[in-house]
Amino acid sequence: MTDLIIFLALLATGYTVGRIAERRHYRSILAREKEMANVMVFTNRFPPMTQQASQALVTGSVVISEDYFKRVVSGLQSLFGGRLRAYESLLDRARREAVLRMKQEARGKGAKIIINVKFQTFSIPGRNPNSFGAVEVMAYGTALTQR
Amino acid sequence: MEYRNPQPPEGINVSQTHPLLDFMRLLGGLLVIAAIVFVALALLADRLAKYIPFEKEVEISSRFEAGFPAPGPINAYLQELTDRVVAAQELPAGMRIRIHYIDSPTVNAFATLGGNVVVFRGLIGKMPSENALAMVISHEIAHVKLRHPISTFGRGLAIGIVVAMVSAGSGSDIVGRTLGNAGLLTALTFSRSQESAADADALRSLARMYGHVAGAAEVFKLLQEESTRGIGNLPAILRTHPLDQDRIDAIGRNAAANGWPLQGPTHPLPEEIRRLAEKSRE
Repeated sequence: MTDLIIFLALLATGYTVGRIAERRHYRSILAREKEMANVMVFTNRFPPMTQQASQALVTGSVVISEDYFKRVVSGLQSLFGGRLRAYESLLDRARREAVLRMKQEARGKGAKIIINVKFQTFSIPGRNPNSFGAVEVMAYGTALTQR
Repeated sequence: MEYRNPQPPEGINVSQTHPLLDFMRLLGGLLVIAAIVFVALALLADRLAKYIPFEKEVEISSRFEAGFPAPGPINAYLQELTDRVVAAQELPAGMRIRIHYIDSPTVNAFATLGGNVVVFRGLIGKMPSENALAMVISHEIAHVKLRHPISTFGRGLAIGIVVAMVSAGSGSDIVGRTLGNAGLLTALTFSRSQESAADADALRSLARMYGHVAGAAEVFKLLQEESTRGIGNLPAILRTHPLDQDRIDAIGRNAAANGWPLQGPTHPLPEEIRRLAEKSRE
């Protein structure tokens, strides 16, 4: 019985706090994406302009963790299979946040364009299935600054 | 060529389903599957239990037999009465009943694995006659004879194993533990149909011992008094034991169908047992 009460309390906390944090984060992401729209990102390996430009590596990295609610829901989902909806929003936030951080660094260098943008992810707990779920998402690319 | 970075529309990489709705659907699905599996396992355990040899049951029960209190003078009488009941009950070869007495005011008796039957002082104190006590003991022996303890044990074990497998598979032991608690509840008691079957078997033994079934109905009248004093009257569907009035009616029907007289001379309990009864009324 005590187990059940603790379980429900953790579930409710995870849901409420996770939900509030997610809404707040999405608001911030949308605002900053609009603000930094003048720094453009491309996956091409070749610069779009013919003028000489100085190049620099720029990175943006973010580490995110699941909340208790997402963990339980994904645990249940893994019994049946299918889309892990609980994690979709989490990873979407992480990717966009990583790009924003990369743009921030590029803007600091006076760059307006980042080419050859790639993503990399790394699972923090590794392959241990009993550990917490957290993942690093890193975006990196080549920032071009016109001379 | 002009380069642009348009803002992609929202909701492509993220599902718009409400997370709580998602959770409820998953939980509902899991509970439905768990219920089906539990019921299937319970039925299977009931079917298969009678194929487990009784010696195996004795082997399992030998692990907890040290927990029974050492036999005293009351045990001699109880064992003698039990032997007479056993003689009337036509147990399969090799099935031995051992009776245990616990000096506690609890008004109860139960049967467990390995032919062990436990009677509490509180119950003996309430018995108006030897016939009534024989009915109780015979009822518990009927559980052993019909292999109810091993089927209950098997059901609990089968459900426990499945829960352990599911919780290991999902990586979330909390889900498994919650299901485990539910499984334990189903494993603790005999079902209503098992109780009715034991009643019928016990009544036949009583008729064979005394030539009539006087005292049988009294047992349930006493239990009825006890239960109304306890948790109150739950509706019949929620109780594992058939309602005591239903059991009294069943005894009447059963006796009439077999031509067993409902009345007859009853044997009093021996003096030392009656003294024991006085002790528990204090």
